[in-house]
Amino acid sequence: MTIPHPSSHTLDPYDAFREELRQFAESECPPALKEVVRTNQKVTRNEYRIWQEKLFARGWGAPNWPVEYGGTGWDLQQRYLFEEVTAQADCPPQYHHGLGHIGPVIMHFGTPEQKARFLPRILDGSEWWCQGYSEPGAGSDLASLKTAAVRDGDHYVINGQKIWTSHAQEADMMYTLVRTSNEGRKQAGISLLLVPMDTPGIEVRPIPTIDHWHHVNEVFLNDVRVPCANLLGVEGEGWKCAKFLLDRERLSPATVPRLARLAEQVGELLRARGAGGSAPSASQHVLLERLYLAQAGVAGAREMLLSAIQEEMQGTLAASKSSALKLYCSDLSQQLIGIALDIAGPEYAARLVDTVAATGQEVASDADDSLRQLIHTYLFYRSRTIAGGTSEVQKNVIARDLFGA
Amino acid sequence: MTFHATPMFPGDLYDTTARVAAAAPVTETFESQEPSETWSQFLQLGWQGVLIDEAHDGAGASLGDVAAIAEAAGRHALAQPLAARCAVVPLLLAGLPGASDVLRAMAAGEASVCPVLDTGPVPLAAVRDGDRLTLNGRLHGADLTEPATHFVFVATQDDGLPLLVLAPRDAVPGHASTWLGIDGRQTADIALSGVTLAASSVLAQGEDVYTRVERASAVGGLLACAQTVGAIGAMIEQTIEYLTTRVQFGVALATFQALRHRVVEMYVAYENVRGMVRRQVLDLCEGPAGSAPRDIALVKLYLSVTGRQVAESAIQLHGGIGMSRELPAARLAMHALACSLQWGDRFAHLDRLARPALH
Ligand SMILES: Cc1cc2nc3c(=O)[nH]c(=O)nc-3n(C[C@H](O)[C@H](O)[C@H](O)COP(=O)(O)OP(=O)(O)OC[C@H]3O[C@@H](n4cnc5c(N)ncnc54)[C@H](O)[C@@H]3O)c2cc1C
Repeated sequence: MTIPHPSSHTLDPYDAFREELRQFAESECPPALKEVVRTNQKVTRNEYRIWQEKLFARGWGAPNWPVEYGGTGWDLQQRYLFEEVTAQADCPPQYHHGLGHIGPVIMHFGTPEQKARFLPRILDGSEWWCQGYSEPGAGSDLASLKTAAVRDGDHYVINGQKIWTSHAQEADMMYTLVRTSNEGRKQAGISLLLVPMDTPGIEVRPIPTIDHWHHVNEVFLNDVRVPCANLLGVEGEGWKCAKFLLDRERLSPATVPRLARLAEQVGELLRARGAGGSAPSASQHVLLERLYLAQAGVAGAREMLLSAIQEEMQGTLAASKSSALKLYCSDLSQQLIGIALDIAGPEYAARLVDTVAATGQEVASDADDSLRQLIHTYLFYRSRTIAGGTSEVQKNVIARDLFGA
Repeated sequence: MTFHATPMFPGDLYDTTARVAAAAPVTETFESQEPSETWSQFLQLGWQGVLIDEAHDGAGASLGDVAAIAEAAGRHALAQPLAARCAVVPLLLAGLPGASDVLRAMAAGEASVCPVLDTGPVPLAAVRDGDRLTLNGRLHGADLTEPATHFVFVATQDDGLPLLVLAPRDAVPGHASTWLGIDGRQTADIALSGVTLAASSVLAQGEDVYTRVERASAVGGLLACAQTVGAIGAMIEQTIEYLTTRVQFGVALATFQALRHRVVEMYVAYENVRGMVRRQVLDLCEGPAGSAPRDIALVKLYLSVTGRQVAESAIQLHGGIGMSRELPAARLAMHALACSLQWGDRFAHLDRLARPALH
């Protein structure tokens, strides 16, 4: 049987390129890494790093960067093909906080020294970043943030708290929004600082989450001294950098190919579950329709993404377009993983964490580990419509564009 | 600047169709023997010949061109049978020796062929005897919103052999019941008992008939999707316009977040289906035809669900006036709903997709 693969059309002149990518993904990505991705386990710095080093060695460290900063200078189709082929081959995604988020902001707003200091280490995967934006009192209303930085000679002294900081436990650097002034509009007194995580006064505490993965943290900052040279852009204009970054955060080309791969996996799962049975059950038909709708949605999302990237490259991208894509894809990812949850059924929901294995004893488990990982993923994916701006906030952004006010 | 829909296939065909469609009056009277003013203009413009090859005096253009026409017509909820007569019939008849004359007449706007491809409850039985073909049964759901000079349909012989039959309108007398559909489309069921035609009315037979019907209907479905994209774009524009001008509680409705968010959902759905349909049309123009019906089924399934959701939102957001047949947005909603059901509804396409999937 064939469940149609929504993005199977080939782009003629790029066939050779696709083949080159395919061979690279085949031969260079270690099987152990692919296994982590294939079975939906959490990808940590270690897997990201190994893959980034391989890509860097091949000259493909930054598919989305211009050549002058060591990027590939690829065009739209090439960038998309890269994501499609690597996702199909179960290679890990690239770590986004450096390459996708702060890297382009440094290119745009940074001094020559900052570019020379930070960009090469993002490219070769030797330095790892995290994003310190949200605070306990500043989530959707990010501009109300309170963490303060006060100038003291040629240093800033930071005091405050960040929350929901993904990857802080494994990061070397944090780009963070701080308040440098309380005058004027609340957006006006915000600055963007680049903070080494080993600076004295920083404490990282994990937040236990429903998915049982260690992903997010609280970050406490107590008299943290950072050189003024680590201010990105102009003091008090950090909001501009933050918006620049958020628009890009919503436009990750990896999202759709990963969704396509997930749709494929869910299709395989459904088939495996239905195999051997006699007549297909009503529940299988219901699941199948949900799957088809999601697959068609992936095909549409692909076109939305391609046109958004095109507009971004031409500098005409409207905020509503990237928000629409974020809104749509986050919802779609939840639909797909929701189907997976229903296929896996009650049994696996009851077996999320293997407590015997956690005690270190060796007991053979008959639970299919990749199905358990799908349950973790289901729980983790609740955050898809929260992190990076909630769906409600995206809708506010889009509505402003649609209604012209 | 407020939202304005961007056509999938901009150009002359889109602009011209949109202009004619915008001026089209709404009629609800059944089967006049005269074509409407709107339809006459389309015939003169040669829209029936867009897909017909140049050897038959057509334009030999691509599916993207018909999709442009469909989208523009969809923006105005036009009930005229554009997909049926400008795409389905030309595809059904392409390359058939017996169809040369009628294809030429179609391209010239002198003939108009109504396809009747739904089997319906009483299938047509055919008996061939020398140079005569005798038909018994029923033509089910013939779209006669505009007059037709011919019917094309499938009849089945005793031995199960399917025949593709082209019959002049006058040669098919019979008792007809006529219907007005949810979007102003007008159809007829025609009961035939012992109607005889020349054997030369059979244009194709056997497996070829199924292949042609499946492919032509799939394209009909895709064009219904293009009409839906046009209708959705216009529904969003009109809904925004209404919410911006309608005042309740002393403020414009457009200030209420619950309403804004529902419009956003319509818009995000629009961007998605627009991309999806456009890509499918382009792929069909460029790619091999083999896998087309299945890919189209996926798109049609999605559009059937989404078109209906958006239509229901448009009505709800207009409040009471959303129930009025005079409101363009309400007619667009009915049009989207009709398109979601035509050329195979959600479940027909789900069945098509699922058939090989679970066995
Ligand atoms: C897994 C995960 C990873 C994250 N990673 C990071 C990270 O690396 N760095 C970082 O800085 N932050 C991170 N975040 C934080 C994330 O950006 C915030 O959680 C998010 O912006 C929402 O803020 P909040 O949690 O304070 O919710 P709130 O803002 O309190 O929202 C609560 C609810 O109210 C709704 N709401 C709020 N305002 C409006 C409005 N105006 N109109 C309608 N509805 C509204 C929201 O949509 C939501 O449903 C992460 C979060 C999660 C869950």
